[in-house]
Amino acid sequence: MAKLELTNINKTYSSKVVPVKDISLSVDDDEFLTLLGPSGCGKSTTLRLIAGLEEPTRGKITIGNVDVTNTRPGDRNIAMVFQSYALYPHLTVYENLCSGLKLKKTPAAEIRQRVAQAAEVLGLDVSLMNRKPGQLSGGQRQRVAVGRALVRRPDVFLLDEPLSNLDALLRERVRADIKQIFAAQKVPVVYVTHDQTEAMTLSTNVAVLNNGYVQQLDPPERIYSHPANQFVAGFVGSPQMNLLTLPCLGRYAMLGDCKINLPENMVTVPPQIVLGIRPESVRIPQPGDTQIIGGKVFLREHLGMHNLVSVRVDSSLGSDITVRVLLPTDQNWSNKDITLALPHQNIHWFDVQTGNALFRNI
Amino acid sequence: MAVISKKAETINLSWQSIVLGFAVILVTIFCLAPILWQVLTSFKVNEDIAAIPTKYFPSRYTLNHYIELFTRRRFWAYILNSAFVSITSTVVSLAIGAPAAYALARLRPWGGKVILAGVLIVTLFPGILLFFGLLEVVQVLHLGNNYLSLIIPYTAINLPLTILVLRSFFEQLPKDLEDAAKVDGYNTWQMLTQILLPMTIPALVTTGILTFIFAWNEFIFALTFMTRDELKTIPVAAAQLGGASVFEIPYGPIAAATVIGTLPLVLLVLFFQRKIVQGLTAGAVKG
Repeated sequence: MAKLELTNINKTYSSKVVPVKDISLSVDDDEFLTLLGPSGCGKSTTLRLIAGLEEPTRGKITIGNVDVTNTRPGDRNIAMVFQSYALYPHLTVYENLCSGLKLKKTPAAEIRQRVAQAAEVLGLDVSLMNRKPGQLSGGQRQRVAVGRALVRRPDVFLLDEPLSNLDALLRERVRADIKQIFAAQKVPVVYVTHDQTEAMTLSTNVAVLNNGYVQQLDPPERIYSHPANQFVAGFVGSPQMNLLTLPCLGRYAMLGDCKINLPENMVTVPPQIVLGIRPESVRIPQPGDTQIIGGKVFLREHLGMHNLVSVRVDSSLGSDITVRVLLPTDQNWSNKDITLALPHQNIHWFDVQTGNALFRNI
Repeated sequence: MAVISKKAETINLSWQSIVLGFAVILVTIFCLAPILWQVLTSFKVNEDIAAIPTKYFPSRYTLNHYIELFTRRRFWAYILNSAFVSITSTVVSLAIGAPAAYALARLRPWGGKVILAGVLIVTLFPGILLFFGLLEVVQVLHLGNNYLSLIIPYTAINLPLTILVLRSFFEQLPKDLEDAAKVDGYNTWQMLTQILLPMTIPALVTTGILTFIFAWNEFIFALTFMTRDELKTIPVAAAQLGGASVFEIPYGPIAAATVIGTLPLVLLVLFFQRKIVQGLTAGAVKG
């Protein structure tokens, strides 16, 4: 039961290799923070810094107001679930579960009780206790790895892509289990993943990382609806958001032959601007829609519930702009001319140079 | 049609298997012939050993040579000496080599590459070159006729092999396990002994057996540094078995001594052979 705080963490290996440049975040009790980002963004390194497996070059880490920046991992009262589970192959499941407790000289009766509790929560049968990890299935091993963390009753839980080695069906089930298990623990949880679905469904807060910096730290809904910059907008949301660099003319951005209204509170109109709109927000024009573009369909991808249709926008200037839109499956859209409406409230504007969002409407 | 081709297949296979079996037998006989010869000699009566033309497979057998080894000569003492020296040098070599290999593989100290290069260069040294220098050292330290004079050089000569093999084995172990151990609270020494060493048993067994075999068979140092008869090791003792007179060479007892001297090694390898193959092929350990 403690608050985890990172202040200006930096990890530099050499002048060219700086995986974590400047990261500050905090996780309270009952919060589930996901570190989300592409490969190489620094999320695993940040987790290892929190765990104490690496030492930060600069910055401070506190758990429950105690400075643990220079403490060994075993003394920080944390528990970690690894991507490859990292179970000791020569010990039985029972010995794996209680290895950390044995080192701390916990009495045997308490060890048994905690292991029994964890086994019940995870659905680990008693018959598994005497087996070695090599005799378990992948899903069972994963549960033992989570069990090893639960048994320690730590101040902070750290999970490093624990679902990535499971098949898709199992992943969904375990995802639901993880959400319930850790909600009941009431302790800060830090979860690392590159999978957006896990980030959106499991967390109370998401920190999107790129290139060693935190791009945005917000609840999942806000990350989706109000991305702070172009990177977050393009990373979160599947299929990817349409990000179009458009020239500006007067008070309009020119999308092909169509004029898109720029926001009213824009003081100076830049020469170029990036328009972002999600494929699911683009729609067939309905009565009352003003911003309508025309184009020709050149690709249709069948996604089950929808079709992902790629449209080349008509433009007298001959510019090559593609808009992707999610449309219902009742029509065949191949090789047809099509008109699409871009609802004003679903448009995101980004600065061309910095990528930052402009005028995030509440 | 199908029947004919099936027959052709079976004919093909049996030719191949005959030739293969023949080759295997030939190679086995070639390799084992000297040993087989010694085994037979150790059971032959003295007249049959010296008989001309050579009697390959004698009709009468005797256990006298073996009995003579243990009653008239102190073969038990030689066996114990060899065992003590070999076991001690193997244990010490593994006990020093494993932490050293771990340090080189994982802890990556400053100058690690220099140390590794030094270790590699030491393996290139033939034992004979060290021999005279070691003799001086032994005389100065009065270690003559002391087990230490054998244990220390054997350990030193075996350490490079131990370090190199164990180092490459440690490097293959998944790093996640050490991270998990660190988070659990193991310090470096506990991690090495309780987590990593049990996983490297194949490599330990392989290197252990190799060092044991080297120490057991070693002749030059054992001949020079141990002159008292009750301290001799098996190779030296077997070579120095004398007969009733200066002109008699006791082929029988020598053969018996050879067989007894080789037996422990054969048993060791047979017992551990699966682990040895594991260690040599050094497959990835599934963590």
